[in-house]
Amino acid sequence: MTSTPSDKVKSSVAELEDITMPSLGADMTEGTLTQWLVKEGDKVNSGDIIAVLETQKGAIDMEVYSSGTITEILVEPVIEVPVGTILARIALAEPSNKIVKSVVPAVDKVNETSVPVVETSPVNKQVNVLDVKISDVKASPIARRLAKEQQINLTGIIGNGPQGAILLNDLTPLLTDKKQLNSKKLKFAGTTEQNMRNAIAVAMTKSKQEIPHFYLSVEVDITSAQQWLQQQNQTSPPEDHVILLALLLKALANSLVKYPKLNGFYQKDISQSDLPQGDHFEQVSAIHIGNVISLRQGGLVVPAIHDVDKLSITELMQGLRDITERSRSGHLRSSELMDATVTVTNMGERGADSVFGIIYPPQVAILGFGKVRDIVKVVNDDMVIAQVLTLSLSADHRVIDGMLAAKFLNYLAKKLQKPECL
Amino acid sequence: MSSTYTQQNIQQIIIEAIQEAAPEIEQEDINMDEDIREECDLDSMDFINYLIALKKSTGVSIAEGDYSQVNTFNKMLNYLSAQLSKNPQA
Amino acid sequence: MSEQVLTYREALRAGIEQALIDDDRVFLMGEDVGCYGGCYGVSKGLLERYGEHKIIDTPLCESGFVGVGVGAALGGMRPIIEVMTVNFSLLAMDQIVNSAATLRHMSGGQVNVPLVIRMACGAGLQLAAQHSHSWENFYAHIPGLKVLSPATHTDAKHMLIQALADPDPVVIFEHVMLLNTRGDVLENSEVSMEKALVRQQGTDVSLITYGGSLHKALSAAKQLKKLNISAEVLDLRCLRPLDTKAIVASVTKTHRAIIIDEAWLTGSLAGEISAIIMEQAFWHLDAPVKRLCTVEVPIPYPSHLEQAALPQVEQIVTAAQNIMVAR
Repeated sequence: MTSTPSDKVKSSVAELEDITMPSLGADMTEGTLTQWLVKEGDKVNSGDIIAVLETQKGAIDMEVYSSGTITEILVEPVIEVPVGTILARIALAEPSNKIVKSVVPAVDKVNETSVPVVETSPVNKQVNVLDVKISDVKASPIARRLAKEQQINLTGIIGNGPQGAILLNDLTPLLTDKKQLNSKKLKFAGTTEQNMRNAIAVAMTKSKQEIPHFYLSVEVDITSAQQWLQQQNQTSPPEDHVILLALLLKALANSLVKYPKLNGFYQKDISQSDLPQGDHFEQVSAIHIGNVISLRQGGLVVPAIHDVDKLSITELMQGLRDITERSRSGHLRSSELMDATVTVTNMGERGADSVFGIIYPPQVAILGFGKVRDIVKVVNDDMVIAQVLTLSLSADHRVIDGMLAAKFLNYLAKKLQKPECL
Repeated sequence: MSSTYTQQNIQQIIIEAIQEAAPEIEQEDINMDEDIREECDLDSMDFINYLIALKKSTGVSIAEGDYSQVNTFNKMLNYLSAQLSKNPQA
Repeated sequence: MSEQVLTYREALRAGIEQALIDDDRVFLMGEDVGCYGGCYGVSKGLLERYGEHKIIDTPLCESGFVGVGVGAALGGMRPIIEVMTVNFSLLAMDQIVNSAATLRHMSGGQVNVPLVIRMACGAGLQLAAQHSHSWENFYAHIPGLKVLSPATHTDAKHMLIQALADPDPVVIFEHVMLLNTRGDVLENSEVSMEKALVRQQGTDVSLITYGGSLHKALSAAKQLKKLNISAEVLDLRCLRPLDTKAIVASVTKTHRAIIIDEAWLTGSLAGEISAIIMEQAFWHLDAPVKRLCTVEVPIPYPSHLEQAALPQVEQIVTAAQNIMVAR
């Protein structure tokens, strides 16, 4: 191959990048574009919301992850497409310094009356197979070739192969969907709940089968935390209220700074031998906490609050209020559903004494918060009434050992004794 | 919004505030004298969002010290009526 | 097509006999091929039936009698030269590589060398490190030679006749573990000697192999079927020239390939086949190509160590399961 990434960057022509239907979690297979918020020629900045999607997780605001000019809009709403389908193109304002993303052949524009995007013939853009090869997505050769032929962008598809490589079988469901697209162009709620149920079933089964979970819990005294909260909230207006979950999240984030082994991703790897010896844990410095939020119509979403360790309690509260509200009303952002480094499930709210969650791959830990209970406790030979909750941890034994997990939980419990320091 | 509130429109305001947090809830779903969080399946975050919605529409700010006075639909109705007649929003 | 059941040894003998009967220019020459009946018993009884001018015992001098074979072929005869094992063929390598393989080229096409050289190869009989190797790749490296590896009983008989019909030197490898096995021998060859044959149809993974490893691949395929993995078994038959079309066709269908080759891994034919797949079927692959070869030690004498060195059925099954793991 003579073409290298640096050759590409030097090119005077603005670099094009594909904007694709994002995968908002391992359990999402397709999404519906309901509205464009940009048109061709619009300038956008990284993080701008450019479209509204309807997914199994409700309405999502789709962000763009690069800055530049929208050059082509390739599909028109309303249309349901598989994850990875190219929706639009952006000419980058600045050349990316990462390895150039492939630009696979575009498809003719589609409007509401014409056939769906995937059924149309490719436009005459000569694209060398080698262009596909230098994409930084890991995929088997046959998966790449098929993706090129079928106009599937591999970015964002979660592969089941070594190192997360996308294999033929990871694309098969998309292909089946494509064949059916003509007939199921517009279909909402009717099957959405079942789809989501199926999607959760697949993701959770895979997690339980692959990840050697182990479980620990501690009962943590939160009397002082509750007192502190009461003081804070006694007279303050509702928008300044702090809830226990915010304290728990903050304490968790601080504990993860001390115990970073629980924060990150377990990556599959390929190796010369057939043993999984190349699999490895990739520690992540940013702490993005995914919050399991049950949807009122059934199912759940797990939006992340970003950089929790860097937020004040007030900011964290705002973040929590915000994702809760948007989980109910729609308008979660695509990034929020894609980048959690650890997850929290708070079943105490719904009356459960404790919860041991299933890890959301490729993460390695999930924290569970149980219900606040009153107990009688012995302090200095006296019986006192204390408030406690059960803090539980499901951890991936490939990465974390019991000793570390126990230390971590105790550290987290200790942090909660001094809420004013969080 | 008019400066005088009838029971009727306060009721409507409460319903709308609940729907901010729980869009699918209708008035007939709610037993007026039962715990509102249980009736509408509101978690603590939903509950705060409900109170914030009420503050936006009525100007009444409810602190945690007063939670026991607003934990059913009817108690909220009475609480707001009292607050609004005391200090009607301009 | 009528068929008969023979041992591999008998099938080889039947091929030689037919060649002796069909063509008066054919003769068999080598160490112990006459009175002793062949070191592995292949030519037993032929001396009595065809006489000393057709079945010729030679001194222990590979370079000498292979050279005589080259000369006889140049002179218009159709010699079948038996070299006891591939290990000893190294003593005749100069004649094979520098003479037989090059003379058509160096004479500008004026002469050709219609010579057939048969040799035993392979491990499993506890014949230790000087009689047990799989060096097909040494000869498959040489332009001017054709290299055959009959793995079935039909091929054992007919490949010799096809080789004799070829105007250029052909080297035939006979795996020692096959000699006592019984199998069907068809009356005619199924296909020309340069074609690979799919011995078992499959859709999930191609087991590409030849010679003594073919039956291992076939039993692995049987076990894999129970594990719900559909393995295709490709018998290469001809190692030079390789039937690249057949290799590419199989991998294009299954997207995964395991090459089973009794030679040592480094510099093996398995590596060559793997490279062909990369060059010609890369965009059809869904998993890295896997090679199963012999451990890189001189073949050990003790039976358990000898077996441990060779590719075995269980390894093929495991490799196929691993390659399918992310299916």
